[in-house]
Amino acid sequence: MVSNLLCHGGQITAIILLLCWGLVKIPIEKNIDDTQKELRFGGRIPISQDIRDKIGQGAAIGLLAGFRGFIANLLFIQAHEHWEKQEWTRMKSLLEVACTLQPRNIKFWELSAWHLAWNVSYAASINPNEPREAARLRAQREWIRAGRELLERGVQANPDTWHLWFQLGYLISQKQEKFAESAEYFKKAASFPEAPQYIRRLVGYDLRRAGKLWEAYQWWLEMWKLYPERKDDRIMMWPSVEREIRALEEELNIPAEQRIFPSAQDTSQSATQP
Amino acid sequence: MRSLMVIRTLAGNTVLELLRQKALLILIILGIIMAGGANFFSQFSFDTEQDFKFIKDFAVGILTLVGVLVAIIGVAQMLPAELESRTVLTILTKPVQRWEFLLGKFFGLCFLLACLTLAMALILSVVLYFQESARVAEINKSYEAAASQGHEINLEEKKAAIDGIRKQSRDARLISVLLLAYFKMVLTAALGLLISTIATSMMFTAIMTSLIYISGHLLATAREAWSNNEAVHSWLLKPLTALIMVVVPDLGSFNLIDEIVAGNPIPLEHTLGILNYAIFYTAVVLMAACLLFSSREL
Repeated sequence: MVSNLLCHGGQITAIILLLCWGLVKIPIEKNIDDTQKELRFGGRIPISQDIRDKIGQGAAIGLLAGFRGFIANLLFIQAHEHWEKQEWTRMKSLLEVACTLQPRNIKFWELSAWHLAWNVSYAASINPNEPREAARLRAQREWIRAGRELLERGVQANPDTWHLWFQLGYLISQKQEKFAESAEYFKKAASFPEAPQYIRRLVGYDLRRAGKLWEAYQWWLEMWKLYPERKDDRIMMWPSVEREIRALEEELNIPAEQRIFPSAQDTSQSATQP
Repeated sequence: MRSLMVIRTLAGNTVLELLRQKALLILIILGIIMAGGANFFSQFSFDTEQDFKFIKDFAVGILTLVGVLVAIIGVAQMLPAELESRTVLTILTKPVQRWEFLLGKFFGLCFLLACLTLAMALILSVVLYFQESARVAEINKSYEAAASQGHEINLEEKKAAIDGIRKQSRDARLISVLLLAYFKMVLTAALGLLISTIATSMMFTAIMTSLIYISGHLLATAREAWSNNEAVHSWLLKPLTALIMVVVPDLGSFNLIDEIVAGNPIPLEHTLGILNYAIFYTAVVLMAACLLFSSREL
């Protein structure tokens, strides 16, 4: 018995070594896993039955073997092919899977939502196979909503960059014309220090279009004071900002002494007063 | 010192043996050609950033695929072939320890994998360089055309566009991608070596290593199932899941590669942590393989 044990000493030591390491590695792996979840890595999203059904067996094996980025790219290219063939539903399903596989890839969300809310929705609105206008409009609205839903998922996966907040606001503003909502998303995008300055302008425009005149005025005032030098005219379009402020001062009947741009009438009145 | 010399000699010999195998050589050449084919991804011109991502993803994907296949096939043939042809006995009659023999074989394979990684990295650099040059030339041309039509040229805008392309093509973080991919292959090779010390056939080693490789990517799912009592409640499934968690490495953590290629910000400590994990895991597996091979009847 003892000689047998000694003879298998190497094997027993190897097994003990592997088991000990196995117990040590579990918390290390858990730690790595937690960090990656915190960083919202796509690789940590389990491959569901739904994804496997959509992508086919070959791609599913590729995913299991750790080629997520590669497969996501191929699916995105495939989706593009379906777009060219006008197979919208198949395209949507592949775009969704590509985004799910690489949720931190901003471009996937941006381009996918653009395809759905702009390209496909327009194609649906002029669909020659659908004679009923109401049905075409309904289809158009549905595709826009699909694009919005995709971007909402994108924002959930990437709340720490301005890009998708801006894209979502832009889609809602341009395609759904829900300006109160879009202004909120633009505000969120503008709150990131690295966000382009022109997004601030979009907040002001949409607040006014939503009928929130006072809020819009406050926003413009804040912006006007924030950039006293009023540089970057190509991006910020200060004359346009000035027009907005003037118009709001008129609409809100702001007293002359509180206005940034007192009207000519106000100026002449104040000049005639003793 | 003597051991190092022995290991070096055996490693050199192993590299030559591996290169003599036509299947591996064809695989390596095919991989290198396919990595060059990443250049064609610029045909799917969505936008510059995306094109560069596609090229990098494809090249790194091919590198990992070919590298892992070379590791599995190489390691599966290494020991069983020596045992079958009895050459191992000839070598071990000389002043060569069994662990030296095993490490020599392993480092030979690692050297081949390193050469493969370097070759693919070189091809990827060339592809990225050509893409960069082509796109910068395109920008220069479009600005020159605009200038010749009398349009005002914004030099800052032009510089920003060129800098954007250079940032994509000269991404220093690709070094960490290549290191991660390399150590993933090395870890796979070490696991294959461990299996081959107890296996008697090449097929068994290759299949078992492939299965461990695949299940390694699903370990996070197993861990979640383990912690969720409802998902794994059977008396058989529970210890089985635990065993998988103890034995199989978490290769899913190497998906970090995709995130780096996608340009997402990754803390350096995290990358270093995964590299440390892979190196330490490889060392433990090699120790176990040496112990197993030492007590094996030849």
